Amino acid sequence: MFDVVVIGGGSTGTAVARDCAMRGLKTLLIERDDIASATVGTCAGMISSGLKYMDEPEIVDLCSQEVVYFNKIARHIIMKNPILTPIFGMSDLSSGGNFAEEYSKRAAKRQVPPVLFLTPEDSLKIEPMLNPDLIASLYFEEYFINPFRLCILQAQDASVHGAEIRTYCEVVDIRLSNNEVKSVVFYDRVSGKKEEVSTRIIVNATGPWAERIAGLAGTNVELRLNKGAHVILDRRVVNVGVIAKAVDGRMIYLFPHESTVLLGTTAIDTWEDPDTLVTSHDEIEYLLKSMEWVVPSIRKARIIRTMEGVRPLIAEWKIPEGEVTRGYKIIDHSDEGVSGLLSFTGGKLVMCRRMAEDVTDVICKKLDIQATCETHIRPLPGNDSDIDVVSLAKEYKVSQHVVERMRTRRGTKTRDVLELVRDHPEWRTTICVCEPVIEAEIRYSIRNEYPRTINDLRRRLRVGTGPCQGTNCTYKIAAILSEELNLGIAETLIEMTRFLSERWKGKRPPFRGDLLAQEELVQAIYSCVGNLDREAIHEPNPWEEGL
Amino acid sequence: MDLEPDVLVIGGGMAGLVAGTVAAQDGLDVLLIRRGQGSTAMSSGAIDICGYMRGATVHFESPIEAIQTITRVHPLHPYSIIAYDEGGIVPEKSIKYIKDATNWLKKQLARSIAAIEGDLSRNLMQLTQIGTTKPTCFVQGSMVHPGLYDNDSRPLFVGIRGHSDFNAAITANTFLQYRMDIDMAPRIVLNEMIDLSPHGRHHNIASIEIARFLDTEEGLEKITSILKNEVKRTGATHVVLPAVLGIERAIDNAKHLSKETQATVFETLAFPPSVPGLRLQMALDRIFQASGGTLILGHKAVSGVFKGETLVEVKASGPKRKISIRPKAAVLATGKFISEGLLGSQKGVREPLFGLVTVTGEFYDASEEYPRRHTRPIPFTNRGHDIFQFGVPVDENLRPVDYNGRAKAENLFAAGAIIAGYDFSSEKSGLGVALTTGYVAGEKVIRNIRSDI
Amino acid sequence: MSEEEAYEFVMNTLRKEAIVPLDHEEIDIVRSIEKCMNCGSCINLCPVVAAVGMDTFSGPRSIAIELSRSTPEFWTSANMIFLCTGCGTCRENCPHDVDIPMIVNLLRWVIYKQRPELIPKQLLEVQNRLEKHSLAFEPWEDIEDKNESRDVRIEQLGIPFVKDRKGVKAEVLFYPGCQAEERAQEVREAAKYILVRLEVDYCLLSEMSCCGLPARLSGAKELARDLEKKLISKIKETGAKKIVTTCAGCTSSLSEIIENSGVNVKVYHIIEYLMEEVDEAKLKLLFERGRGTSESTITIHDPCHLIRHTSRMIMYYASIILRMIPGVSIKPSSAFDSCCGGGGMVGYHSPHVASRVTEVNVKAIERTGAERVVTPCPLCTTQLENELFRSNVVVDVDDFTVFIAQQIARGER
Repeated sequence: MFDVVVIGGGSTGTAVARDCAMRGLKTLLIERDDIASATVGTCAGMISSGLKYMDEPEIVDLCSQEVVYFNKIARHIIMKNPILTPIFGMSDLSSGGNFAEEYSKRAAKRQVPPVLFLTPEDSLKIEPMLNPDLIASLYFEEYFINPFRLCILQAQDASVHGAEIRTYCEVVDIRLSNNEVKSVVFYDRVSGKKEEVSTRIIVNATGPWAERIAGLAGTNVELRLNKGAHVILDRRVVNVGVIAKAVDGRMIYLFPHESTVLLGTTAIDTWEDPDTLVTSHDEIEYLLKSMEWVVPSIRKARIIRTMEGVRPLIAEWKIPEGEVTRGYKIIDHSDEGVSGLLSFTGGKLVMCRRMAEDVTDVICKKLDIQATCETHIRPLPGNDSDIDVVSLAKEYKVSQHVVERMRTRRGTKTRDVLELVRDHPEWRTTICVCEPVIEAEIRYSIRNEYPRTINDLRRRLRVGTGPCQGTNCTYKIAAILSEELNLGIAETLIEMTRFLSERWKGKRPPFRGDLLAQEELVQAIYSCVGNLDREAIHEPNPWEEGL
Repeated sequence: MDLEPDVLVIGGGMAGLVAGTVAAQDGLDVLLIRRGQGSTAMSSGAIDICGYMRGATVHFESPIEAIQTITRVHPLHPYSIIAYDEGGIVPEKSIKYIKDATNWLKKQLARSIAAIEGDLSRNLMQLTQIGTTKPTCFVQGSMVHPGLYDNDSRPLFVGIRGHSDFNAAITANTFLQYRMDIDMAPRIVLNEMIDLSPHGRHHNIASIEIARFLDTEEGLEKITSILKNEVKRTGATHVVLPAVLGIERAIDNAKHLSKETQATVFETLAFPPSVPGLRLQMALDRIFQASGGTLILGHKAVSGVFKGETLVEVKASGPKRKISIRPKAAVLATGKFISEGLLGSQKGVREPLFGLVTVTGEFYDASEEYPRRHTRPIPFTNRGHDIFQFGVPVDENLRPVDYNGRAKAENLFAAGAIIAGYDFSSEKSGLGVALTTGYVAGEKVIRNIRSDI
Repeated sequence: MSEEEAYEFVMNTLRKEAIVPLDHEEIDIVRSIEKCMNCGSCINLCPVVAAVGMDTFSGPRSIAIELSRSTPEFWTSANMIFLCTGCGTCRENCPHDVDIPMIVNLLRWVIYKQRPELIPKQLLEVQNRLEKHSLAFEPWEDIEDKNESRDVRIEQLGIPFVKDRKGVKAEVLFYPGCQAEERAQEVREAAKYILVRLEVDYCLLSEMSCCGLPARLSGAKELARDLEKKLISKIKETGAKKIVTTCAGCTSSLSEIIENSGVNVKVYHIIEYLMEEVDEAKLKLLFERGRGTSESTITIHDPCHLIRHTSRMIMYYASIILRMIPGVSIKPSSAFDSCCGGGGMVGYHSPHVASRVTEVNVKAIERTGAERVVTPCPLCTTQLENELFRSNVVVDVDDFTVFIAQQIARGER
């Protein structure tokens, strides 16, 4: 019997599991795919101070406060994002002024400077790719967090505190007894077996799928689903983030992030099955066209791929997407006559910890448990202290660069990975050269971070996210995964085509320029020589339907 | 200084080098310019003629069968185009060309570092580095594995510690599973990881490093003694190695190892850019030069000057110098997207050097076809992506044609992947089409200069 | 906060975040790398990988795809980046012209800016010399000693001395480069002698000044720019329309900086000058006069800076010129165009790596059975000479210019 079953392994679900577990509740997290595999996995990773939503000052306050907490509990997976907003006309200037005022109010608390005004000359020195016609620019600072690592670390920390994490388990039924939740039935996609667990409370943190899950208990959730797409460009072709107005007056951005640049986002109301969505030609051109006014050379940059996700907004209608509140709601379905089921709508990445705190407070009250939230003061794994990259690299004879990149994922846990090379010196071998990732980290991740597929490893390690999109490493990782998980042989080959298919999903919409050569190479390797086009046909993915 | 060769070949993979060598061996003064290494280095080093029909799941038993089918079903396939005679397709003509070309190549490569074995009467089911098999026609001497599919064969898959390209255990199991699925031998496979360190360490070892090491006496001695022990210990009949048997000595090494171990030692097909691919590229480079051809690397053709229906000049640029070449005839063998013989924007595909007409696999104008529309939602299917059939259309003399079907220039010929109408990866026909069209283009160039076509 | 303070503040933040704002030119370099498909062909051919292995030097692919992509705060990859000899084999063989030698310079510059403590100290010494003397080598203390050394060298080689032409205006400027100016003086003297015998109207700079290549290769971009500017103004002073140099590195470097500066001057390696600007009959005649005085079996080594940074055509010309010389027979070396190991400043801080690269050449040269190696680059000459000596291989090494001058001189006697 669990106290709480959390459904959904995104940023919110993992945060809830962590909070509940830390407060001593017996907790189970069920995710139908992998941790961070849906909505949070397609966001830019910005933990924004909420300034886009100046009209909701309480939300800006909340976001700003959360950023301060993240900088304490997860600083090893956080990076600063310095941003320029170039100004081309007087109208931009006045709206910029309001923005500056709101932002600056909270700057000191977030330990960032107030909004600064820069001259055109200085702006161009900082960011030479800007359109030289600008008359000034605003400078301010935000932070990025690695959204995948955040979710993984939250889930791991929940485990440390006693929670059970089950990925690849899809909830198929919620059973009630006397209008109270009694149990959750789920299908384990790996073992192929159905299981039922009893619980006192269910938290529905499934984002865009909240309606579906609530429906299993005969209850309702209304969402306004809104599709957002990004174009991912290779390398940091801008020095700092750039914010600009799109063709329709919305704000879009170009953010250097890890080893790429993110151009996003679009906003389109959607009623499509979220699993089938891909970025459209229109969305790509909308983003490129919009950013071209501000960064004229953007079209020359190499596109690696596109990615798309769905915002589970609170259902406010007949207003533009941008005006829908960015707050969140916790729906207690006892109002509908089903007690013990709590659903989330709305919310943003930056709020996930706070959302968890709120819902756990509610749960504790329901279960009559006295425990206070500590998620904002207790650090996530790896955050403890700084590490010396150069000496670690020497000690374990691994390149400095590899260790540096590992540090951004693991902080002080880096040494745990490196320890593996003592017994297996061959695991120093670099497997994904784009990022780069060594075999030891892949083995470590498989053993400690419950991935089932190469795509899961991609979320944890960034393997296959470089410009070659797995051209060079897919077969190598498949072999390692197969060894570690004892995969069936057909599964090993199919795992290759599955991962490359998932990569192709993002390469196909913007298919042009260097992507053509890249794909020719993929075909040369995997079809022409590997013969996988004849020997390893996978079940079509949802977005591949209609072939 | 201006250069005035008889023949200018632009591009130096299989197609360009074969065309150039054929012309040079006929006594013509041939200049070949190339940017990049030549796409043959980006192959597995085996020569596919044709393994599958697009859309088919069962492979062709032999390339001859393939040509007979293709010439019937795909009239605009390069194998069909060369078979045109007086307005109709004569399959025997295509087969003769392919026979001539492959016999010629076999002879040229005979004492080279990439000598090939195989014949057009059957496709070989060659073992790949991930344990699958694929149909191909000619393989290098270090890759042949007689008896592998016999009932009593016991292949030992040998991986090298720290060489991440080849996981012997997984490859062996994949192979066994596949053979069991079709109820064929072998019924037992073995695998082993060995230490063979070219630089005294056991990680981050590239195939090329092992190949170089095995070119040395030290390396060969080391692997010989290791494999001898392994074969003795396991009773293996075959030793399956990744494609690392050497650059200059691979074939001799395979023979030596087979003799010493009393088992058949051979290399699997490897992913490009493979060591055998490099051997083949190097061998072709050497043959071209030995035939009197001049090879100028690091130069990119940037534009052409046409006078009426004749190409009179090609401008090329090196890293910091420009040159002008005024050939009597030219062969365009610049390949597809990897080698940038074709470029694609979001809106269409073009040929950047001469601005030639480009077409889709269906032979519609490709200049305004969105590339995405010519791909499939699933990356690997037996039909391939149509985008890889894009190219320039050619006449029966392999001359690129304009929208009216007339040759763009009487002295400009095309060979290899730039020609439209076939998909190397789905058909497994890449080097075969490159070889054949290169050979035919070489002959056409000779006729063009010597007499007139 | 004032505008100036705001700018300073932002720059400070970027420094703290280890973001070095790239300018237009640098972003263009990074762009060239975006064409990389991660095929790995370059690794197969990289001479440093061949010599020391992928683990010591992770190779061009790694530089292109991994190091250049990395976020700036991770650019501490000095252990790899400084081992590139800059030979350009990767770029030449890349299907997409990815300009790896340029990205190496860029990354070295970023490390120089961001983590100067990771720069090998020998490179800092070179930078100091360049700053102090505008020369890559420490100048002679006593000019008399320098002249004596020169005289001994050219006497041994049988090259007559001709006086310097300095401070005059001329059609052609002869630019010997730092090495021929301060160390391999025989090359400088040989070139002067050839130019005089061909009746070329030439002059020298009043004072030698480095082209900036060593500064660029060691990451000191600003210093390289200063040196380039200084040299350009000196070149302008001479009024020359053509520059002839005997150094392979200077040929590619001058070609680039002259083009970027927009000055209307054409750069020639002396090989190109002989081929394109000198009447073939005249050259043949000079060679013919020496017929019968000497027989020589040679092999040729192609310097990277000529073939891969300027144009392969130059060595095509070189072979034409060498074949004009009576009594010379050429034996091809299987490593004729492999890097000699002396480039990219690697020899300064990691001589063991440079020697390993040279080994390939040494073995191939030995196998040819030739008596001497001819190469048109003073740096390659020195590197090959040292390594052949160290390996007890008795083969002479001659700079191309010296070899040609000797032949002409023999005809004069």
